[in-house]
Amino acid sequence: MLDTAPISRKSLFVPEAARILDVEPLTAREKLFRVSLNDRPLGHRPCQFVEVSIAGIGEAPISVSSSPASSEIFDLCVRDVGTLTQAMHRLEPGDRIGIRGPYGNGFPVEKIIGKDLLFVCGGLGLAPLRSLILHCIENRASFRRLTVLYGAKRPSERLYREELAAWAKDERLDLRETVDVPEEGWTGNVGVITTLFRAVEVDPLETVAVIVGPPVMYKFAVLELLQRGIMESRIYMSLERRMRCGLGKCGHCQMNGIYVCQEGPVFCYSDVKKVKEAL
Amino acid sequence: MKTLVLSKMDVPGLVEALGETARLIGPRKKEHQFVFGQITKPEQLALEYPTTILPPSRQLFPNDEPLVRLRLDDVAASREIVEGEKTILLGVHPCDVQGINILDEVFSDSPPDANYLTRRSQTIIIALECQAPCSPYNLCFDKGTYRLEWGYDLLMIDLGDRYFVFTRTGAGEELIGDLPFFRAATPADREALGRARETQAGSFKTRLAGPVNRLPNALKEAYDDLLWEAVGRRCLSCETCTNVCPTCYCFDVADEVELDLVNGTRCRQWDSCQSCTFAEVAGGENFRPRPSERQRHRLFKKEVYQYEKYGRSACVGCGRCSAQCVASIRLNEMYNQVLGG
Ligand SMILES: Cc1cc2nc3c(=O)[nH]c(=O)nc-3n(C[C@H](O)[C@H](O)[C@H](O)COP(=O)(O)OP(=O)(O)OC[C@H]3O[C@@H](n4cnc5c(N)ncnc54)[C@H](O)[C@@H]3O)c2cc1C
Ligand code: SF4
Ligand code: SF4
Ligand code: FES
Repeated sequence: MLDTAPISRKSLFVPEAARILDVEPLTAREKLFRVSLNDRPLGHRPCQFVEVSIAGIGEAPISVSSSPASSEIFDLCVRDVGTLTQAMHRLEPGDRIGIRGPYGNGFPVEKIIGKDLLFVCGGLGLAPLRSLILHCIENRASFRRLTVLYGAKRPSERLYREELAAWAKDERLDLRETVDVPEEGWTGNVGVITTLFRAVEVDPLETVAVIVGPPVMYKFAVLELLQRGIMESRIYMSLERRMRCGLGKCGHCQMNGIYVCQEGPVFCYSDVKKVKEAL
Repeated sequence: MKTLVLSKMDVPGLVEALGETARLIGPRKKEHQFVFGQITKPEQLALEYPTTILPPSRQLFPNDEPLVRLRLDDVAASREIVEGEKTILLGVHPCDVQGINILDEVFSDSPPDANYLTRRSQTIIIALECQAPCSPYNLCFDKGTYRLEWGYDLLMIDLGDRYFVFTRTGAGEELIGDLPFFRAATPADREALGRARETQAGSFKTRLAGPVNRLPNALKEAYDDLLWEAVGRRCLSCETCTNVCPTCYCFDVADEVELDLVNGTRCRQWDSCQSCTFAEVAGGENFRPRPSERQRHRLFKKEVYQYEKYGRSACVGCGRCSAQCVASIRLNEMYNQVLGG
C-alpha cells in the first residue's frame, strides 16, 4: 500500500461557485465579465489565471484582468473562440459559473519596485497585463516611469477603450498605441508594435520590461528590448500554452520540462532563453 | 520482511480467498493476448503471461475517470467523486510495479491528486518476478527494473512447483495473515530461490548499446539530431505508444451530460502528447505541430525532464510502446541511436 500522509479527500477539480455581476461587450469578440466568488475574495496576484467552467460544457483557463487590490469582484475578459468561451458569451448578469484557482506564479511585483516599467502588449495580452498595470497605477509612488505600448490588429479590436482613453490623459502613465490595419476615424499610429519602441526613451539600466501578446510577438519584442540595452533578467513575459488542469499534471502546458501552469505563466527572459520550446 | 512459500496447488484457493476480501485484478487471457482484469474464478488467472496489452497502472488511472458530479443548473452543487475500493493487483511484473511507483510520485507531487491517491491507498500489489524476458522489446535488464526493491506489498518468485514469497509491508502481511496457504520458507526453499535467481540473471540480456545513465545527456546532445525527423516521418501520431505506457499520465478533462440534461460528470480522459492538437492554443498556434517534435518530447519526458525533476527515468522498460507501434518505431533502436550503438 502507498505510504502517504493522510490523503485529503478533496478533489482538486471541484469548482467554486461564482456569480456574474455584470457583462460588458468590449469588442465584437471580447466581453468583460465582472465576477464574484460566493464564499471568499479571489486573492490573486497580477497575471495569474483561473479555470472557468460551465457545468456540462467544460473548462478553460482565463486570466484575471483586474487589480489584485479588489479581488472581491474580479474581471475576466473573454474572447469567443470555442465551446466554453462561446457558451460564456451567452451568459448574463446573475448567472453562475465555476472557478478554480487562482493558478500560476503571477507577476513578482516585489522585484520591480523603484524601476521604470515598460509594458508591451499585443491584442488579448492586455487582458492579463491590465491586472499588473492597474496594480502599478494604484501603487504609483513605488515605481518611476510607467510606459504602456499597446498594439491591436484594428482600432475596433482595441480592448478597454474607455480605460485607454482615460490612460491617454492620465499623467501617471505614458500610453502609446498602434494598430496593424487602420479603420475610418483612426488618427493614431499604424504599424506593428515594434514601431512604437523607436519613439520611446528608455533608461536601460533602470528599466523592467513586461511582454504579453500573441506567441509570434515575443521574439521580435525581446530582440527590440535587448537592442535598447535592457538586461535579459529584466525582461519578463507571460507565456500562453494550452492548459487543462492548472495543477502541473495534465502535461498540456509543458514547454520542454517546464510546467507553464505552475512555474509560469510569467517568466524572466534570462530563465527561458535556453528553453528551446519557449519562444 | 517475512519469507514464505506458496504451493502452486494452493493458488486457486488463494484466489478465492482474496476475491472475498477485495476486488481482485490479475492477468487474464484475451484471445491470443493478455490483459489485467477482474478475477472472479481461479481458472481466469493466467500467472504465466507475457506483457499485457495495457499496464496495470491503468487500473489506478482509468480512462474516463469521473472527477466531479455536476448539476447543470447549480454550480454550487458540484460534488467531488473521490472513490476507491479495496483492490488487490495480483501477479504484477516488476517493471509494471515500478510504473505504478512512478505514477504515485507524480500524483503525490504538490498539489496531491486525491482522485488517484484515494484509489491507490486502497490497493495492494502482489508482484511476480519474471523468470525470463517476457517481450522481445523490453529494456528491463538494462534499466534494472526486472527486479524489485520496494513499492510492492508481496513479491512472488516462481520456483517451479511453488512460489517463494517476500512480504514487504504490514498491509501485505495482514492480507495473508490468517490464510492457510502459506508456510515459512526453509533453507531448501532459499537454496531453490538462489538457483532460480541465477537462471533468471542468465536469461536476461542487455539490449542497449550503452549504460542507461548516459541517456539523459545523450538525448540532450541529440536534441537537434536528424533522428527525430526520421522517426517523425514514420510516426502516424496514433497515440498507441503513450496509451499503453505504464508511466504516461497526460490527460484531458471533459464534461459528460446525462439525458435528463440536469446531471453530468466532469471526467478525466487519457490524452497523448502525440496528438497533433495536444499543444495547440486558440489562434491556431501549435507548440509541437510536427510528429518529430512530439516523439522527441515523449522520449525527453521519460528520460530528461523527469530525471531532472525526480532524479529517475520514467521509462521502466516494459517494451509496450515498441511492441505495439503500428509503424514499427522501436524505443530501443532510438535509444541506441543516441547512445551511439
Ligand atoms: C494562462 C492562460 C490565460 C488565458 N487568458 C485568457 C483570457 O484572459 N481571455 C481569453 O479569452 N482567453 C484566454 N486564454 C485562452 C483560452 O484559455 C482559450 O481560448 C480557451 O481555452 C478556449 O476554450 P474553448 O472551450 O472556448 O475552445 P475550444 O472549443 O476548446 O477550442 C477552440 C480553440 O482554442 C484552443 N484551446 C482549447 N483549449 C485551450 C486551452 N486550454 N488553452 C489554450 N487554448 C485552448 C484550441 O486549440 C482551439 O484552437 C488563456 C489561456 C491561457 C493558457
Ligand atoms: S505508436 Fe508509433 S505510430 Fe503511433 S504515435 Fe506512437 S510512435 Fe507514432
Ligand atoms: S516508454 Fe515504452 S518501454 Fe518505457 S515504460 Fe513506456 S511503454 Fe514501457
Ligand atoms: S495545465 Fe495541466 S499540467 Fe499545466
